Amino acid sequence: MRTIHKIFVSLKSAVILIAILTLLATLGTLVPQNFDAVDYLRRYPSLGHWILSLGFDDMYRSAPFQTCLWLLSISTLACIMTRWKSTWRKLSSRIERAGAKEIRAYEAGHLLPGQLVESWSNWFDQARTDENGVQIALKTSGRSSLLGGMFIHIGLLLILAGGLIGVYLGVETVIRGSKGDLVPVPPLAAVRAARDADKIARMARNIRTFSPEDPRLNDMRAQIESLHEIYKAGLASPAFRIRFNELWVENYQSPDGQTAGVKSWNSRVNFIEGEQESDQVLVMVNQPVSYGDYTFYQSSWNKFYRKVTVRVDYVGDASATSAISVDPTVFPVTMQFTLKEPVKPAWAPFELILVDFMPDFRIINERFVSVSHELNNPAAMIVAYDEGGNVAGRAWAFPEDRMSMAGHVTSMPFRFTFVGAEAEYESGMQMAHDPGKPVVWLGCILFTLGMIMSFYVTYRECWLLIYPDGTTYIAVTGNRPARAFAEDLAQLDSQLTASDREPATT
Amino acid sequence: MSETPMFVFSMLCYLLAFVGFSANISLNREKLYKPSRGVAWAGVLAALVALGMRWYSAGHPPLSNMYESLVTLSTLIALSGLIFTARMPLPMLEAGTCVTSILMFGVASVFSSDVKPLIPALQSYWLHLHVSLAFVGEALFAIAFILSYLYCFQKIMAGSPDKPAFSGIIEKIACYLVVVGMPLAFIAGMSLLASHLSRHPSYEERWFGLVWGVIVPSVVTMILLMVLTWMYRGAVHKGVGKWLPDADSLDKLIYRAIALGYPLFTVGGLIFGMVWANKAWGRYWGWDPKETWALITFLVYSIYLHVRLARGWNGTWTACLSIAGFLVTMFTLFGVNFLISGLHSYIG
Repeated sequence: MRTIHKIFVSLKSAVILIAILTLLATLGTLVPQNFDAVDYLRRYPSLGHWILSLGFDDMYRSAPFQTCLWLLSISTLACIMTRWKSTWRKLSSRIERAGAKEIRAYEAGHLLPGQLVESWSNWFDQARTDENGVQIALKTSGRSSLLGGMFIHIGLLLILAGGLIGVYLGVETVIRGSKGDLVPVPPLAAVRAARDADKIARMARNIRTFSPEDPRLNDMRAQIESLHEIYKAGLASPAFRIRFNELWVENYQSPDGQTAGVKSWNSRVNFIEGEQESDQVLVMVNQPVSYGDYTFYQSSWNKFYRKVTVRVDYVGDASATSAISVDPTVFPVTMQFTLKEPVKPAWAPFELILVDFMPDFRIINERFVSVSHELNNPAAMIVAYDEGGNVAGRAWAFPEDRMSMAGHVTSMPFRFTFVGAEAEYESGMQMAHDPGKPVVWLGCILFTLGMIMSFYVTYRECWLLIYPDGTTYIAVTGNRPARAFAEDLAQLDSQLTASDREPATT
Repeated sequence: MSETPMFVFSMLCYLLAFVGFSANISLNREKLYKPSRGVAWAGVLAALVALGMRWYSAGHPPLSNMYESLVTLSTLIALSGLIFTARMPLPMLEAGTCVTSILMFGVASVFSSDVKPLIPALQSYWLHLHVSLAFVGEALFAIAFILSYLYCFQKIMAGSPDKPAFSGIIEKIACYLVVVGMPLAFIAGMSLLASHLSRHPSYEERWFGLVWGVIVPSVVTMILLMVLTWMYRGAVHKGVGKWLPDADSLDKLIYRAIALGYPLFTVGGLIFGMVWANKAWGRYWGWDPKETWALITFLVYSIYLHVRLARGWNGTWTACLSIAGFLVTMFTLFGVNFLISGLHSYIG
């Protein structure tokens, strides 16, 4: 037990732990985080297994990192307990513990050249006579500096404790809504269940990559299902609902009247709990709003297109033509799709669905992606389903000037040409609950105070020794280098040296 | 009115001050010290006026992108150097801060100096507190870095009359690595940056500025200084004791710079950053690369303070730690923006 205590109290251990933490944090920024196992194995063929088995794919929640944080917390606690004893001794009984020999060893000190003033005792706070008859007097200033180190370490411990509370009890998610949407906010327990389900699902994916038949997977599946049930129940009977009444984006205007970047995005919302409805509140970036157990932050916005208009022409040369009969005289036809909503036009034997719309599409790494919210290069994907629900064909719709591409990716007897799309805004609000935050803020305050006290407050001890033979010695020491006390020593010298007018002590 | 001519004037002042301090040291002309300081002060004041002009025209403090960050940091380094040496003349440090400021401005000129409106997340008074305080801390770390470099330089030049022990040889090797390695690392870093920028369409021909404005002059100056030091090594050996305080005093000065900068960086860079992140993003800590590297900077300087204060370490190894700390600080400022993307990517 004593050995363990010794290890944790040791500064060497603390420095080693800080160094390991530094190394792990550095690795965490160099290794991409929270990817799927297959991505690590593909990117790092030789190191991928190591990254996954050590948990470095989720470094800051990995066992090595968390262990390091726990050990550092214990080491900090041990340091606080050890420091407290010595600090208390210094604060309460400094003069009793200091001997003449120790005081004479201080670098900033010398024999008083002149006569000592009679009123010297008024100048000092405490005095005593030691066993050799030497009078020892002490005056201290900046004693709060002695507590600086304690405050720093207690502050650090509180920050770590608050962080751990947040990890275990906190939740963080994003809710999105468009104008008029009423979004349910589940109770805390349900959101925690969803968070835990996500964690387990990720672990399960990684396990499945290495051993698809692993028996743990069944348990995990059951756990995920039961957590999802809790979440669904939470959604069915939410803690409250949020209604998105108004969403708007303000842009900077350049002198020529053009928009020059986003100035702010804002949401006006109501919180509805049972029959009660709150007043409208404005949520802006840097101006969060709290309601119930959660705080809402305007973290993002999205411009999206739900309604897309296309022109349809009959081409009649695709594979799906063989089984259908179409009246070619009705074309071209203009029709409006709503994203993900099936449409059954009179001229087509299938049900059509706009499954995806990309306002600014590109092909990156063989994948179709949208690189912005603006209608710079729109592309819509339409899928046709027959009466049996089977996919009968797929088609891409591009603007007129790019329709040459469509022929390569269409398996329907129709050509769809993009005509227009209606932009809608969606507000993204970060929803957080973290019971550890007050503890973290308290830790930050103590840490800051501790640093001010340690680094910017000078602790001084002014000593006077009067030997039985009348020799006097003065010294100044503290938490700064001896040279920093040269002026204090000179001042002490002049204050304690008797001038001609004042009678000297014997 | 554009602030660029004021910045250029300020850089010319730093250059002149650097020449003045160098002449003061190498030619032993005491009379040159005060005028050089005066010129350096003129440069700092001009840079402060230019920053004020930019603040006025942009409507926000010049801390919102890489160009503004670098010119502000460059000014703060020069200012900190002058304040730091107000009561204790140290022309080599002052010359070092002038060079650092010039180089930083040179790098800044690669980035677009257009005034851009603030994105929503940056519209907060926390921008003033978080970034400015962190920069003051970083400027003091730069002072500690220059002093550490000078410490290693002195260690090499001063030599030891006794036969060096094994640890002495290791220390000497470390000092050589610092003295020769740091300029090489700087040039390598800038070359990497130039190569990175040359592939970036938005930087077009700007990276040429980095090559001809920073890398080539640095290489020429470095070679010149090394040749001169080698040629006049006898005089340098003798002079180093006169130009610099003794090793112990230098070590204490390094500590003082870090002890001043560490709380400012911690409060400004980490704690105020946490408060702001909590207001803007709903969480005080998200392991974003910039946050993590700021934490790494804090941890490296924490190791420095622990080993120095509690274990009584000082000298070459703590000087090396201070140098490592500054390298990490610079990576947090530059490297993270260019090499690792994250929530702070707008800074680039």
